[in-house]
Amino acid sequence: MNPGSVNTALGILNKQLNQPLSAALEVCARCGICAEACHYYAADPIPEHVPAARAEELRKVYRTEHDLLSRLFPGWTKSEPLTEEKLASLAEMAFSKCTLCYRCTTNCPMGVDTPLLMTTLRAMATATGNAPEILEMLADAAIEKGRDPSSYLDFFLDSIRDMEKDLQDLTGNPNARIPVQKQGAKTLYVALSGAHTILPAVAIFETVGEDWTLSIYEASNYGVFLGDASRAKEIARRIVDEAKSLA
Amino acid sequence: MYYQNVKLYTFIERNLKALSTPDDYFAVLLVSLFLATAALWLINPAAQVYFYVISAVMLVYAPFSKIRHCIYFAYARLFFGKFVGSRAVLPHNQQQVM
Repeated sequence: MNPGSVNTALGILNKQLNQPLSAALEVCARCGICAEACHYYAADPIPEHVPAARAEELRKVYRTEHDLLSRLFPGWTKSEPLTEEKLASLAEMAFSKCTLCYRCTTNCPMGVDTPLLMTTLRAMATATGNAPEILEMLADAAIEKGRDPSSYLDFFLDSIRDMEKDLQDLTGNPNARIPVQKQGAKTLYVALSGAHTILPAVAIFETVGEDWTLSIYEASNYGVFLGDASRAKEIARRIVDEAKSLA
Repeated sequence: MYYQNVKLYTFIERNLKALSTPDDYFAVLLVSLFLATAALWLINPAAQVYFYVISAVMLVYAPFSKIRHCIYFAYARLFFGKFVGSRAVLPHNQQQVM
């Protein structure tokens, strides 16, 4: 971990502290209704898997920084200052114990945006080098792909040609094709990633006779997973630019 | 023994116990006393003074404690509605199944 990572993480928290985040940090009544909504809790019903308990870990830090009562009497509100060890455990929790599915928010009587808190924690972790390396690599690879698609385009087109055979078997139409980057198409389909997210949609497009084309990029945005807004924007921009170039 | 454990478990909810802070217990106590003295005042007018004292303590303490969620929760609902409502994610009856 970099020296000064605690200050960097707190800087990210303060920078992202807009109205929705403040509301999510302030509003929890600790009623525990979110527990039943969480699939982590459903799989392993321990108090640490209650979404409110996860959010509470960030609130403890937030209260130490921003709440008068917590500054004066930390024990009264169980507030804790951010330390490097705590930052590492918060990062581990934000990446491995929440899928940002929003089931807790949907079931919360107050509408507390716990995934927003987890995203903020992820941003704090990413800025301090605590994010999973694989996610960082995937995000950087996606950005690189957008800068120079030619490096992998031939491989991608080969795999699409192979997929066409599966499509022809699936639809029973020997002339079924998967158009890639077709100019002027009405619909640009951006698959999540991999054949299993391409074929089902393509079979529907083919059957209804849609004027469509396949994007060469994947819809998965690893920048969003990292809570890194700048990388998320860059990854999303590839698709917007592609759509504009095909219009 | 099993029956006693079940009873104890339902009385002490372990998730809420893990989540709660002393401030939570005190806030719940204050609000409960506020409601109790309000009800008592309806039965016995002499309880008016207790109601006013408890109300004053609660209103002074509210901005510093978790009681403030009573004011802020409307904003959380607003942001939640803005996030999912504007995209027609919720309510589900907006989605037509063919």
